[in-house]
Amino acid sequence: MEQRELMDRRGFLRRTAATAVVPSVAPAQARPAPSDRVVLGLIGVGVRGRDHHLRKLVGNPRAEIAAICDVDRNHADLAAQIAGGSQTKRPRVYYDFRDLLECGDINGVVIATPDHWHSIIAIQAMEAGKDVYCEKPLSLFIEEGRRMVTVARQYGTVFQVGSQQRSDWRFRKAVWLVQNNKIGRLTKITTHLGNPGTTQGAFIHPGVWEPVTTPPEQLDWNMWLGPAPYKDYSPNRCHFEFRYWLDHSGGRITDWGAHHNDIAQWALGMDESGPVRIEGEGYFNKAGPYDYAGFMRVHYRYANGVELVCENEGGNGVRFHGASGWIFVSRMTLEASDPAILRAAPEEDTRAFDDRNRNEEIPGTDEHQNNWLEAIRTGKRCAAGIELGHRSATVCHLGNIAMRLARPLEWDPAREAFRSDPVANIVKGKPFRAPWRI
Amino acid sequence: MATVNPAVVQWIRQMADEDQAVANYASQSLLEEVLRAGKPGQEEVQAALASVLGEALVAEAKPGEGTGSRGADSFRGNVFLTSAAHKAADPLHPSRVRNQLVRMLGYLPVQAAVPYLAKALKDLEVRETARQALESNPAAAAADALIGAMDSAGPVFCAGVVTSLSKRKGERVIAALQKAAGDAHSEVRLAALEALACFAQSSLDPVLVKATRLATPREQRTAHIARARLAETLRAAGDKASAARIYKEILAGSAPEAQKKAARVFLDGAPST
Repeated sequence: MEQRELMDRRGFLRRTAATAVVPSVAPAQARPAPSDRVVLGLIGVGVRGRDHHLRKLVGNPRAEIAAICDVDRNHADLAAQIAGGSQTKRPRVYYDFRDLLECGDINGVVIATPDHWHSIIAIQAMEAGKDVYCEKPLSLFIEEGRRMVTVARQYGTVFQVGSQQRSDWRFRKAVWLVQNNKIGRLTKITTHLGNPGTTQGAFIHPGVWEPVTTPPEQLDWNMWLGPAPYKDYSPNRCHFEFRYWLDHSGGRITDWGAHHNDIAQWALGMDESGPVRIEGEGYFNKAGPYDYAGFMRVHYRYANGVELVCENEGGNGVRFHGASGWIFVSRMTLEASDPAILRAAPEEDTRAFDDRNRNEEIPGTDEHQNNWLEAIRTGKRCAAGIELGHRSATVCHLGNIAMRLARPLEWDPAREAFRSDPVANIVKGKPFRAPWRI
Repeated sequence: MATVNPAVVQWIRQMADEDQAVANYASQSLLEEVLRAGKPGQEEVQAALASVLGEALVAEAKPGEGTGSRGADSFRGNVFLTSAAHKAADPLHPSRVRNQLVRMLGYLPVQAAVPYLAKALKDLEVRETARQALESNPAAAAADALIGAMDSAGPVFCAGVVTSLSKRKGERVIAALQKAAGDAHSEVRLAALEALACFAQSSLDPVLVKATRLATPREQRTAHIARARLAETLRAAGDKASAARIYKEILAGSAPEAQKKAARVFLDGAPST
């Protein structure tokens, strides 16, 4: 993106108005007719799918939840019970996403499964004509992310990646200020993936050893694993803790990094590109079963000379370092080296975001869902479309690869390939366990 | 010949330890060693490492040695697999370790890894991991090994082989995939249709068209999706005329609405996300 365009305040406001500024709850008189509601299927209704998507969507006049799917029958049945208590029609329940995708009445799906399932479900959903809201990180591997982008473009899918910080006023304002040089020339960004609300790093735990046990009766373990390598069941591999296993997720850098590195990419104007050099320092604690980098620091260099440092120290948020000041933004705060910097944002912009999501447990979720639903109805672009979601996930995957390979890597963001490193190019993709494929 | 870190042999032995902590420490250390040996310019080290890992993978137990992982319990009562396993020699290392070794061989993009992985394709306990490792290996011999495995028992495994071949190039690969499109097992046929769509050759379209007419509803749907994929592959390769022809046929025919929408996106130049 050219600097001239970044400086255009009206252009910025046009873009933001076209994306996230949709009231959380529509006024009663504006309640959409049933025929205007988006009929949804929710796939993956564990903590995120149930407590953050289902509970919000079930009261949303723009949406109707027609079907629920989870490979854990307890999760699926509980979600159906919650939805059935708030809607006139109780949603249908499925334990295999392919059955849900065959439902002709469903317009869109919300995917909140573990990361290793995202690409397969999203691609099959798009090829079945559904619009998609997919949780972050978009992908588990770089290559599958590109494939998802290709399919979304081919089918004209309205695709929202669950990077809801793009719909959180604090982050939007911070990005506007940075892009409009309110802290001078941007020199460095630090993304802190430590504990929210503190100045501490993330707790490093390698997990505990568990004996191999039979999966609980309600869980289809083979289906939970899906394309991931077969492993015997152990409770600390599935549900919330999947994020600590590289077969299923990427650890801290894809969990929180998918959010904060996404903000860095946005501020840098790199939504369709990425860094060119990556150097990572990771500590993989071999004392326990988890294989993610418990301690991590990754240095990225962009072609414009800006450095991005991603680390799980120093609390949680994004710090922009400029030639004449700094801005720090998190889900709880927006600060600057000089308070006057924050007042430099356009007034109408500030009004639009005031108090919008102050009380949300995860700020921006309502806005983000509504942005997607509105985009389905109107055909407008989503706040966090698939290309930028893929690029942001790529930044995180590049960090993991650099830490695992323990050597500096040169990345070509146009070709999406490493320069002169065959092993790195192998690790950026991964074959699926048969019969799964994309 | 490049030398390999002497700890490698020890780690391989420890990977079989009954103490999960010991086994995990060893496998994580070995994985680190493998990934870091992948530095550009270290092909000799990679080849030497592949040789050490490969020999451990195919090592057979002497009488009274080994872990006996091919006992009847390993196959959970599957009569076919159990009897097949009893005909084979007992491997020195248990399947858990052999699978890890195969996976690590997959991170070594050298020709030296291929013979071991090809042999592992015949080992029922590790062949799926070996199939994935060969998919990642750039050597032409890896594609040959995969083609050679297409007639193996088990449609799910064969479907995986077909998918692996979709990442390769060449007439031999395409011929093998065309043959798979007529396989007796539906799972293999479906994989073959999707695999053929990855090659920018409009001459493959008739195979997909035929599948849209003759097969079960599931295969018909997969064939329509594969046709749209082929059109996209052709478009991306610059053959827009062939892509347009396929999309027009999709639009005029009995394809599901989703594929017709894809056709409209292409033909109308509709904005995409």
